[in-house]
Amino acid sequence: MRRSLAAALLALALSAPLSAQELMDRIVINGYTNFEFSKQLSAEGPGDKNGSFDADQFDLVFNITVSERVRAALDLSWEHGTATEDGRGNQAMEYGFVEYAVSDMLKLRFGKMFTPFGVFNEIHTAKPAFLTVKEAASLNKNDRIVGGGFLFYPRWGAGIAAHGDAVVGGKDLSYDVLVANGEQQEANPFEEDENTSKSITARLRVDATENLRVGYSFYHDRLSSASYTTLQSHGFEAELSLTRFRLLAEVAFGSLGRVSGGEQRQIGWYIQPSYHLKGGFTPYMRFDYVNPDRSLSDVDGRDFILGLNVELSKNFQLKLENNAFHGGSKSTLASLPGQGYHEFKAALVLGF
Amino acid sequence: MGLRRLRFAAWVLLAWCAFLPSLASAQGVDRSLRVVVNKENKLASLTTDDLTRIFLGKKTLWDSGTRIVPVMPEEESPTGELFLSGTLKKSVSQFRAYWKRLLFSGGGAVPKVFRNHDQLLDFVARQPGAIGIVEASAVDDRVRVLEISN
Repeated sequence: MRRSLAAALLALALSAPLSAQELMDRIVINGYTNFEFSKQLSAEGPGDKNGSFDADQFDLVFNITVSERVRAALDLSWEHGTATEDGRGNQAMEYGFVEYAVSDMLKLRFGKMFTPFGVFNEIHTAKPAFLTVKEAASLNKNDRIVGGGFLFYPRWGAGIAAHGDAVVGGKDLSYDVLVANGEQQEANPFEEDENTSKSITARLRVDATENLRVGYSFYHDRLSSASYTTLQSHGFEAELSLTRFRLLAEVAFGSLGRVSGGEQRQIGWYIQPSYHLKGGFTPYMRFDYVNPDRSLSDVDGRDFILGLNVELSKNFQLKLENNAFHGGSKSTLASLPGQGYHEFKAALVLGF
Repeated sequence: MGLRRLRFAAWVLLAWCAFLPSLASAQGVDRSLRVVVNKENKLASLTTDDLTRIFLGKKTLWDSGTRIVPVMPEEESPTGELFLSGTLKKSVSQFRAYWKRLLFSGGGAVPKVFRNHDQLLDFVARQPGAIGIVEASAVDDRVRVLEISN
């Protein structure tokens, strides 16, 4: 990742001699950090019983304008108080790609990217970009709610992407298409593909009205697993933004083809209303639902979140919420009293 | 309800939403504000819709191929708020939330903000692709005023 940054800076330096002022105009550095606390309130459950602080993440985000049509984008991440000497935490390049703008309708991207599926995946590390402590698990990390399922798509992909914005019939729309290696069994998916099939992700978003945006996402890949053949998912999203009220909702349908025949079909959805009060207070709720295998009954799981987001200062937020997890009688949460548990979560989040 | 029915219902809802009549109505730019560009920019006028797309990161290139660099007063300043609510139809918090999602997903850089008009005009005068929002009374001959049409 340091090499990527060094290469981009070197390319910029070699393109033309730049004054300090020009260099500052061309390189924009932003970032975000997230500090969390979580404590399981119920006596039993898979949550954090002790109550722990988590120096969750510190990211630096670089936007480098190399020329009029070429831009490099990079997100360097240090998670959980990275200390490589002690083998603690994680250091990662969340994304690092070069964008060549043919026009606003066609921008080609090359490198490692977040999979452009739905609302949360591309911002799942950027906690200042959403109200809740964590992204919607029903579509992004459903094992946080209930076991037995699979990811609707891999969270990252290395490959070639196209992004564009256009106006069609008086409506603004945007699209993304990513052709990547897809998830791998053994190899580094950002370096090598274990089969000839490439994964395809596509997303289309339309500003239906001034206040309502709708979108559709699609993912398909042929797997090299000994147990599974294909992964295919469809996602639908809607976001209503009125002056103070906001409603966000998504649903995803996934199917995982089995080598032995048939498929495991999964559904996940959430609905998240919020209301922005004066003084920076935004109460919110979210109901996440996952059914990891629709051929089985009572294996589903739910997470009902009630929370408050407080903007303490510009781009500095405090988030407080209770997560009430509950599972069906045959779900992985079934053995718990009441088939569920409560967990309190809090976060201090800064975007800069 | 079967998976296919659910998926079909989602498609129908999505299609219905996409064909809703647009409620957006171009309100233009408040008369106390001016849209200024670098003097090298040959463009004569711009529509309000295109101005909105520029400040939301959807339009990033001028017709000449030069990269557009949008700049504005601080969001919470009277001029900034007037521009956001009057032209972009967004509150300060909506504007910031929109850009945080775009910025942190690698979608591009947030419009630069300036604390005073003088610094903003200096920047527009220096950057060939720049476009800025200023109070009408602050405009001087360092920049060119762009006509905005609805």
